[in-house]
Amino acid sequence: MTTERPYAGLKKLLATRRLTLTQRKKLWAYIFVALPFAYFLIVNISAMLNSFIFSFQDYMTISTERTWIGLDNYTSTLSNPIFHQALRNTLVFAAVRVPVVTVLGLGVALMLHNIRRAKGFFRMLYFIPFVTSGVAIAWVFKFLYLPNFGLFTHLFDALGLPRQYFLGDPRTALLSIIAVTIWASLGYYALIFLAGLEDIPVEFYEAAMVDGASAWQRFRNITLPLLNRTIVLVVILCMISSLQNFTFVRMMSKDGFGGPLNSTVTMSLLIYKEAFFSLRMGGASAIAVIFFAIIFVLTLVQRRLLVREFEY
Amino acid sequence: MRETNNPNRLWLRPGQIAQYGLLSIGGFIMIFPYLWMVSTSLKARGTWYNISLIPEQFSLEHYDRLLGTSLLPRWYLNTLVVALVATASVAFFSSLAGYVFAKYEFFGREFMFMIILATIMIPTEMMIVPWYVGIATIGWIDTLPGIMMPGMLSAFGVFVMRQFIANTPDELLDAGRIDGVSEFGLFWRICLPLARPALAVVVIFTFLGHWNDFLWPLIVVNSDNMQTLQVGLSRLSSLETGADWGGTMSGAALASIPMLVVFMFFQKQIVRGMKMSGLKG
Repeated sequence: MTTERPYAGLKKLLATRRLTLTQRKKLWAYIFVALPFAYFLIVNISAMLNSFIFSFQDYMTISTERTWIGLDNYTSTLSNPIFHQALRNTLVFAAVRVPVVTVLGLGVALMLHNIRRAKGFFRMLYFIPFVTSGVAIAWVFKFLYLPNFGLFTHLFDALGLPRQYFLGDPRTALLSIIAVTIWASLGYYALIFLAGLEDIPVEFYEAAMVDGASAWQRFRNITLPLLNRTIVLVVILCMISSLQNFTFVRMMSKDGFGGPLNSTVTMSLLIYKEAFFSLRMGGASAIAVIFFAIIFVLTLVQRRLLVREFEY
Repeated sequence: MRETNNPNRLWLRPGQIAQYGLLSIGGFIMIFPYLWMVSTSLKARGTWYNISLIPEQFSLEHYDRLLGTSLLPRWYLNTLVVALVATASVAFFSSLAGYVFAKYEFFGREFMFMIILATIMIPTEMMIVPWYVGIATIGWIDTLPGIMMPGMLSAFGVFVMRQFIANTPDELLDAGRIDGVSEFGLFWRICLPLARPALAVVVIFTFLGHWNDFLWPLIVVNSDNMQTLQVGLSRLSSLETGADWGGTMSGAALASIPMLVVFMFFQKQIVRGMKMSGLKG
C-alpha cells in the first residue's frame, strides 16, 4: 500500500509528534469532517439565521442599506390580504393532497403487493412521473387543461359534463393544480408503502388465514397497525412537499404569481414574489420565518397524533 | 397476502383479475400524458388542437428548431455540468462525512451529526434570500458555480452513507491499519467500495434532484445563455410570440427523456434505495 501523496507532509508531521493511535484517529476524523461540517454551517445554518435577521430589517435588494425596523415586516405581512390567501391556499393544498395521496398510494401499493406477475412493470409505470421534471409535467398538463381546445375539455364534452376553465377559473384553478401534483407523486408514495408492506412478516397473514380471518379483517388488524410507521412517514413527507410546492404553482397559475385572482398563490410563491419581484427581502424573510414555523409545528403535531408503537 | 396454493389456478382468480384491471387503468392514466406530449411534439405547426394520438401531419420541425436554432443544447450542457459536478461533490463529501460519523469516536460527533440532520428540516424557501445575498456578494450571480453552490453536499447523503458504512466490520479497518493503510485509504479503498450500493442511491437521487431543480436556478440565472434546462424550458413559450405547443411539448420531451432512460437502467437501485435509505422512519 502506497501513501497518499498530498497527505505525505501532514502524515510526517503527525508521525514526529508521536501521537497515540487513538489521538491520531481523532485528528484525522476532525480533518475529514471539517469541510463538510463547515459547509452545512455556512450554507444552511447561517442562511437560516440570516433569514431571521433579515426579517427584522428593512432590506431591499437594490439598496444595500439595512436598517432595523423591529416587527414591522411581521405586522405588515400579517395584515396583508394576499398573505392570508396564500396561507389558506397552502393549507388547502396540503389538506386535499395528503389524504388523497395516502389513500390512493396505499391502494396502489396493496395491489402491486398482491399481483403475481408483471409487478416490476406496473411499479415502473406509476413511478415514472417521479423522475420527470415538474416543469415538463406542468407544460403537458397546461396543454391538456387548455380551455376550449384542450383534451380535458373534449373529455368533459364527451361525458356530458359542463365545460370547465380549469386553470382559468378561480374556483377550479387550485384543485386543477393539486390534481396534477397527486398524479405526479402517487407512484413515489406507493413505492414507500410497498417497501413497508414487504416488511410485514408473511406468517401473520398465514396465521390469520388459518383462523379464518377475511381479507378485510387481515387488512384492518394486521396491515394497518403494522404499517403505522410507514403511514406516518408518507403523511409527513407528503405534507411537507405540499406546503412547499413551488414548481407547479409557478408554472401553472395563470400569470405565474398565483392567478387568477390570487386563487393559486401559495406561501413559497409569495416568498419568491416578495423577494425577487417586489424586491422586499426583509418582508420575504418574515414570510419565510412564519412559513418555517408552520411546517415545524405541523410536523411535530402529526408525529404526536399519528405514531402508535407496535412491536413485532 | 400470499396464499401458497397452486399458483397457476390462483393466477386467474377474480380478485387478481380485478387488481390487474385497476392497475392497468391507473397505469394508462400515468402513461397517457407522456403519449400526448410526444404525439403533440410530432404534430405540424397549427395542427396541435387536433384530437388524435397519431399526428395527421407528422413533422419534426419543433425538434429541429429546438436542437438547431434555439439555446436548448447550451441549456443541456449547463445542466449536465451542474448536475455532474454537484453529484461528484455530494458523493465524495457525503461518503467521507458518513464514514467519519460511522467509524470514529471523537468529541462533538453526536452534536455535529445532529446539526447536519437538522438542516433537512429547513425549507429551501427560507434560505433562498440569504443564498442570493451571499452569491451576489461573491459575484456568482448568473454563473454555474452560483447554481451549484447550495447543492454541493447533502444531509440526506451523509445520513444514508453513515447508516451503510456503519455495517463495515471494524476488524477490516483494523487489519488495514496494521498493513499500514492510511486513514484516508481505509475510507477510499475499503469502506467506499463496500458502500457502493448506498453510493449508487445517493448519486442517482442527487443527479435527479439537480437535473430537475427549478426554484434556485430560476433565481440565480438571468441571461439566456446560463439557463438550466428546466428554467429555459419554463420560459420557452414566452420567448416566442403566442402559444407554441409544439415547441413546449418537444422541449418537455427532450427534458424528460434522459431521466426516463436513466430510470430504466437504474430502476433496481432506485427501488432498493428507497427501501434502505432509512426513509421508513
